[in-house]
Amino acid sequence: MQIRLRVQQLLIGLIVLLSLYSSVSYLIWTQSAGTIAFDQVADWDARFTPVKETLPIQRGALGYIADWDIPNADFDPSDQDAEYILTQYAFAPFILIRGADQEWIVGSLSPRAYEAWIQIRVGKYKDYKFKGSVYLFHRLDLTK
Amino acid sequence: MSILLGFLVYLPSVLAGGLLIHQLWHGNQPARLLIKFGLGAGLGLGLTSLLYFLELLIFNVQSGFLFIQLGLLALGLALAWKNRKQNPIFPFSEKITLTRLQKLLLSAFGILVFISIGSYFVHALMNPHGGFDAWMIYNRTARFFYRGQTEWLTAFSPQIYWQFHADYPLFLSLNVAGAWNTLGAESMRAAQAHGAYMLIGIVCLLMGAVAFTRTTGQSLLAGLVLLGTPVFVYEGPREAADLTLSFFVLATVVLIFLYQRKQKPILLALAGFASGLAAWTKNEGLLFIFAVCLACAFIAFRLRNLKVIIPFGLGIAFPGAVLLYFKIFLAPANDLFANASQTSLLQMLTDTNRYRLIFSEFIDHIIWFGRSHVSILAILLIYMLIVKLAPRASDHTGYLACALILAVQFFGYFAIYLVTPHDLDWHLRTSLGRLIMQLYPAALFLFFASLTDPETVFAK
Repeated sequence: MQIRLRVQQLLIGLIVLLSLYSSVSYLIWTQSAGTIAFDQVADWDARFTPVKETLPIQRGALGYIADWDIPNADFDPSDQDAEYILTQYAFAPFILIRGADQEWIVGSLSPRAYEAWIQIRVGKYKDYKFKGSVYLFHRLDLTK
Repeated sequence: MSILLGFLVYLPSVLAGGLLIHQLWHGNQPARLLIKFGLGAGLGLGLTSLLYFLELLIFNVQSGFLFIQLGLLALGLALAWKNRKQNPIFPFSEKITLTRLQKLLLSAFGILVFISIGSYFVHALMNPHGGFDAWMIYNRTARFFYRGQTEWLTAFSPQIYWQFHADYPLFLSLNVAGAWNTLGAESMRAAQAHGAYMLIGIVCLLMGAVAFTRTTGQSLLAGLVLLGTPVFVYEGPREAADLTLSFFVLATVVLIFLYQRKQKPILLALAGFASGLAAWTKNEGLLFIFAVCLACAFIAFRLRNLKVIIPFGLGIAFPGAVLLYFKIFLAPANDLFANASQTSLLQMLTDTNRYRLIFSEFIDHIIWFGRSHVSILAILLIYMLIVKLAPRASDHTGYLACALILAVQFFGYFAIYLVTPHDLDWHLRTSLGRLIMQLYPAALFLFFASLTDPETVFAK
């Protein structure tokens, strides 16, 4: 009975210590998990600021193309997915629709992907180039 | 400065919530006041979100967020002043005296709070825009509102890709957009402060409820286990809605338990309101309403009193009506059910591999829940086996009703994974941990409310 009581008391102490240990471990982990100096999302937002300033419209739907839309391009699907999400976040309240069916299309393309995409569309789009492999395309023929 | 403003911008709602609940449920024992303060954080912010939605819908202006909050606070203060004699807040009706054991536990809890605040701020400063879900869903919708102003309904366009979940309820996005409209800028600190208030609400509510139903020592132990589960401190600055849903699941479970003990209809009305707000937070809240309705039916059956359904129905009516309007008239189709066919459903339901994968992932996530180096579940199980359950016979209906809620919610999640149209592995990997987190504080409440308390163990 006495041993059982001691075990119960020890367990309460153990729970307290483990909670403190978990908490300290997490505090140490947070310091190695990133940096305060660099904010990836704000950086992605800033990347598209010149594009938004160039757009003649304030609302509506925009097309969105990236390396995953280019046949034979190398890309990591999860990176492309995250970039699409971040770009939509940056462009809100515009709606970013994947593909090139809209009048204005935002491109986040590697140089090779850009060449491959524009090569077969010469004369059909006016393109604007920005820093960081960012493009804005204006579809010239809106009848299709 | 922006961190301070982030907290200040929601403070009127939090205080108003606490003051209004104090008027509805009298008494000023310290544990009861802690419950009311905890409840006030979530219910106050929830009420503000619902009223702000109505303002947007009716007047199509976004500038009223602060006025709604101040109006609620003025109402709370006026009622508190009017009823100060019959229902005072101070002085407490019970003197707070702590034993040596309680003082030791309180010191440990104080250290843990200090460390948790440090972790919270480091994580918040590193991720001003929060986590993946925040950019994808909640802050993105808030940007559609804030930047769209009178054209805020664009946020529900069916053209928005399904992955952005434009059909998600608006609790968090509305409060974030409201704060931005009040501050005149897209301050991410406001979204983080919202998460912090929910975390504070969960801690106060859990500790207050355990202190109310058991002892102060047990309540401190519950607080230590909760804050010693790092995922909770991690979730605060992520700016996602899972922490908010955790709050409402806990609030509903606690209020139903207290109703069973006190038989005060207002507690059931507040439980109805809290469960409605759970559904106003995330789609999982719809399943939660079903689970809570079952629990109410169970209580009605056990107490041989069908009337218990009336206060619950009154409580859920306002958030339920707003949610219904949103789902019927504004929200686009949900990705899980938009393209479901009977054939594919049948295929999924009869695929044993899906059961096996979901079951093994559930076990794995539960055992290793919490981002801790040790298995919290294993420790709590050992603790329960050795310290022993000591449920009060008079609370059996409450324990069973609350366990029923958690069980239905748990199996509901299992069933949703079974019929998900998305890649099952991806769906489990990206969401299961958060779903378990939604139920964790309520499970902790049931656990500590039914276990022998440390005071008894050390008194032997």
